[in-house]
Amino acid sequence: MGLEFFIALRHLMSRERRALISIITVISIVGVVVGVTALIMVIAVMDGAQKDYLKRLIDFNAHLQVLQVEMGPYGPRAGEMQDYRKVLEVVEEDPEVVATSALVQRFAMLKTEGREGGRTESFRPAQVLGIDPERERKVSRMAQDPEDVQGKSLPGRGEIVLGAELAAKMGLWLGDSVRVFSGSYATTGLGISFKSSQLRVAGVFKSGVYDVDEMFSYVSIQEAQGLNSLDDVVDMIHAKVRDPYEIDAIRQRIEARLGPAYYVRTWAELNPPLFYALKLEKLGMFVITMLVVMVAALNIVATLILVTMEKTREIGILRAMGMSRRTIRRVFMLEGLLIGVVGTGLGVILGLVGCYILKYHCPFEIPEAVYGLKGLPVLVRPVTVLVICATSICVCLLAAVIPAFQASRLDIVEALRYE
Amino acid sequence: MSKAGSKDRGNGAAIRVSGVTKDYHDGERVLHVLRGADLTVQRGEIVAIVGQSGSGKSTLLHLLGALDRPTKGRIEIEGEDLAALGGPALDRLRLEKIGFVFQFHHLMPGLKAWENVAMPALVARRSDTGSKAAAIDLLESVGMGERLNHRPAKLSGGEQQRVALARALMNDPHLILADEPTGNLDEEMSRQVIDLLWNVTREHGRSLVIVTHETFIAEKADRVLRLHEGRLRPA
Ligand SMILES: Nc1ncnc2c1ncn2[C@@H]1O[C@H](COP(=O)(O)OP(=O)(O)OP(=O)(O)O)[C@@H](O)[C@H]1O
Ligand SMILES: [Mg+2]
Repeated sequence: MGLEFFIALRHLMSRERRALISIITVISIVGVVVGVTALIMVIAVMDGAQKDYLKRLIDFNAHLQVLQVEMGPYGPRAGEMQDYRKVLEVVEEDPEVVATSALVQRFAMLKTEGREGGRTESFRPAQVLGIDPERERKVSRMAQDPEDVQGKSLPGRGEIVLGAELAAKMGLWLGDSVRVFSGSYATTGLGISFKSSQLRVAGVFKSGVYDVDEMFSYVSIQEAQGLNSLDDVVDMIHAKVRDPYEIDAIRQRIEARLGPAYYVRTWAELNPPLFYALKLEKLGMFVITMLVVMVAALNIVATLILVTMEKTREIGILRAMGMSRRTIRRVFMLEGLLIGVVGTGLGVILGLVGCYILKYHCPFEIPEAVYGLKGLPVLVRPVTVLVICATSICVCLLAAVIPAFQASRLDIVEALRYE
Repeated sequence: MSKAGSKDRGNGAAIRVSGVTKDYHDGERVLHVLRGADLTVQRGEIVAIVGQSGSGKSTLLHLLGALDRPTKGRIEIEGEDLAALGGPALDRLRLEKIGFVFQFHHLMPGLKAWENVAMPALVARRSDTGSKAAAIDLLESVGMGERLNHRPAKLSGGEQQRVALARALMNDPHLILADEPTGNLDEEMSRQVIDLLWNVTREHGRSLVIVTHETFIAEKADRVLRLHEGRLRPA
């Protein structure tokens, strides 16, 4: 390989008067560097964001939900759960389950009155969850982390805890009161009247997940039952498990024990659009950065074809001397490999340095609402870096195939004549 | 294997060409450059080929050097039929048995004189240090010991041609093919290069086919053939 290496290096670092090739070599190396750097940084940020977001989401929600299945006019639907105490017992028996709670979850409309010189009247839909505060705090992170909560984290009688975005949009703050209309109604002489109660805002929480902060609020379970004219029934059971990534096996066990009258959902199912969006976004970014690498590869093809043209006579001389087509091919493949290895190596170094800077000395502020995250989360996975390196070097090698064959198939006599 | 073959039927012939034709297609027109050339060169023989410009001398030499294939006819080098050899075998033949000196030296511009000379040995995968030493010896023997590290552009025409000659000798070929090696040299320089060529050919019992215009060169050869209308005849 020594000779091939020698010739390849000379082709790429031509010292002749027309140093065009050297410049083009540098350009094609820079192309690879840019591609690899971009890939490493973009994927590190996406991975970091995803991991961070997932962690918040998984911990914020319950890992598992159990619903009652009842037959509705259009097929099975979620119904009210009468014997929830028995279901709680069954779920708690699973060795992986660490905590459970029962809750009521209903849609409601929140209404505030306008105030003189202050906020205007507003009316917004929200999920109102009726919880057993003592039990729920063990199941979800909701209201657990004192940093994220203003005021009380767990609502008592006559109180409500609002998501931060919801509170902000309605202009509500601790101590304010809000009227909550449920879907339960009575027909009176004047028409339909929805049931409602006036509640005091006792807490405002921030989960870090924008959708949750905008849509959710909590009341005590008794409050929710009263508001919705319910007896001692709940809408679902929440459970927390030891390892959320083992959820599928746990779900199967519990489903088997509860029988067909109950339906078990996992955290992953609860947020499919979100997962899909995250995945799609990552795929999109990957495709875009792959395009950068493709451009770099085209650059290499162009460079090597130019080398082939520029060195046609030299290739003719070498062939006339008795150099084989295989050796010529190897020379050009080696040129692709050299560009690839140098470009990828520099790209990895730059990419890692870039990741370090983003993580520890982030030069710009990220508006929190974008990812619901503070700063830029960066996660460099060695496997990802290896895959990027391997892909990039393979692409560079592939890019060299056409020029290599072109060079090796030159007619010797024609090549010697070439000016 | 090839050596045994050459002993059996070669009768010492370095080259045996019979009925070789070469056509070039130029669009619709077909150019019959060679029209049945015959030639036998014995081992140790020096044959000069003369002919008008465009008569096909270089074409013939390229065929002899296995740089190109004939349209028809048979070419044997040391008893081996070139038509029977595949690409890699032809590569090896060129590498090991043939030293080619081109009409326009064809040195590699980016390489120093000694690197140019050493290249055939490197292509043959001989060791770097051995190749360098051999290249320097060869350059000294052609009187270029003082110009080892010059690049071709810094050498005079005669010097370039001497480097090219040293390169042709690098793998110790049995057969030297020289295409007007003194084409663009003055007479004094021509004589120097030619004397050298004769010496290295005679010294090792090599064979030489030399294409030339110059009568003084032709006179020195064992035989002179004229290429005319695609055929070779004694001149
Ligand atoms: N690749 C080619 N395609 C078409 N015609 C060609 C090709 N190569 C050579 N010829 C033609 O073949 C003829 C012989 O060319 P060749 O180079 O062998 O001549 P020559 O005898 O060496 O001439 P000179 O003495 O000028 O070197 C010329 O007419 C040339 O134009
Ligand atoms: Mg010629």
